[in-house]
Amino acid sequence: MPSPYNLEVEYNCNECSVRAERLFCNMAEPVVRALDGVKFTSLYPKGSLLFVEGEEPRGVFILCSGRAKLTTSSTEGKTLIVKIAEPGEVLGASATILGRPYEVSAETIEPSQLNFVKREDFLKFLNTHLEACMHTAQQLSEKYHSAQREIRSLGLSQTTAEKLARLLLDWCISDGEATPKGTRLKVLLTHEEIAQMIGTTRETVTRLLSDFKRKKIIDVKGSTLFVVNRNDLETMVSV
Amino acid sequence: MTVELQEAINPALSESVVRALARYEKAEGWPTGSILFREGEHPRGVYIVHSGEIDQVFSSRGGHAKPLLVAGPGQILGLSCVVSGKPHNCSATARTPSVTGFIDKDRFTTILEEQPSLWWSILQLLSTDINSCYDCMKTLTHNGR
Repeated sequence: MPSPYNLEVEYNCNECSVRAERLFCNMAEPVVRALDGVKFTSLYPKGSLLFVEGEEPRGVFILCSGRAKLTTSSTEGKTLIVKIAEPGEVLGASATILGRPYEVSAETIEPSQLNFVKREDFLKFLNTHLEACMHTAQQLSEKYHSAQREIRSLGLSQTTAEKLARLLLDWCISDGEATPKGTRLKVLLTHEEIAQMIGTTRETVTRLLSDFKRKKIIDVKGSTLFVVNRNDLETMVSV
Repeated sequence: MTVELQEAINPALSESVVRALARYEKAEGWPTGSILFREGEHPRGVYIVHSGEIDQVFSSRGGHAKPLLVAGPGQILGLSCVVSGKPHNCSATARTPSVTGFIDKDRFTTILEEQPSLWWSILQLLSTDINSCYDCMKTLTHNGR
């Protein structure tokens, strides 16, 4: 029987075929069994709001498949995407650990499987299993490094074109597929969302992508973007 | 110059960690402008800030450098790098005369093995660091538009 949203659903963490590749999930079997006992598996369509900035922490969401955007809003109401979370990430961990409101909002940008663990169960799980603590610390360290990289880009880039070029290069490294035409990227974000990632406006992103296309740096076919001339993008990036 | 002062960490938490680590650390004084570690270096250990302010300076490929975060008393620099084994993402420079307690990374790992309860504090400190980064990103975006 096909599963909802055509997702390959895995209900049992110990039988997950990709567990060994995931920083948080790659724990010893008894620990994973304990996690299995407290998690609730759910499937979400694209656009599902998992938690909202400022909300009291209910628990953590382990992203098994799919992707989610983490956003925060400035006092002026402007939205900034601080991260696109990938499979294997634990969402809402900082707030859950600190017992403070979620510092970001999380929304799926494609159909996703998530394992939810209630706050008190997660804290008990950490308290009982040292290995889980260590893996959570590694996961938080990764998040911290990723946030520092964003700070570098936002704080040191001289122009918006440079920020956009760096974003495209990052995508080439993380999701790019080499083709004879160049590096192929499946772009799941709208121009508005790309703008929210680099701290600019939708109009600027549309204009810059047109510029890149005109200069034959990129080519766009629907939601597929080809980076035709990666060297030109790299020349633009000083950060 | 855009500098985001990192959120003050829970004093009780800070105190308990600092107390637990105190007997293992080597106190070091840093005059203004002195460098604790450089971007790209592998972590030698952690630096517990006891007094003063430490700038976290980010550099571009062209050598342009900017302090974008600042750490104060109670914060531990280099923690995420020691946990993940990754090189430093930024340099740390004393903004004001500062005193830190240094613990070598092997010693730090041994302490965590001997006192596993400290892992919980580590999680809290890292969570606070992440929140500070998000606040900084908000400020930078606001200033940049």
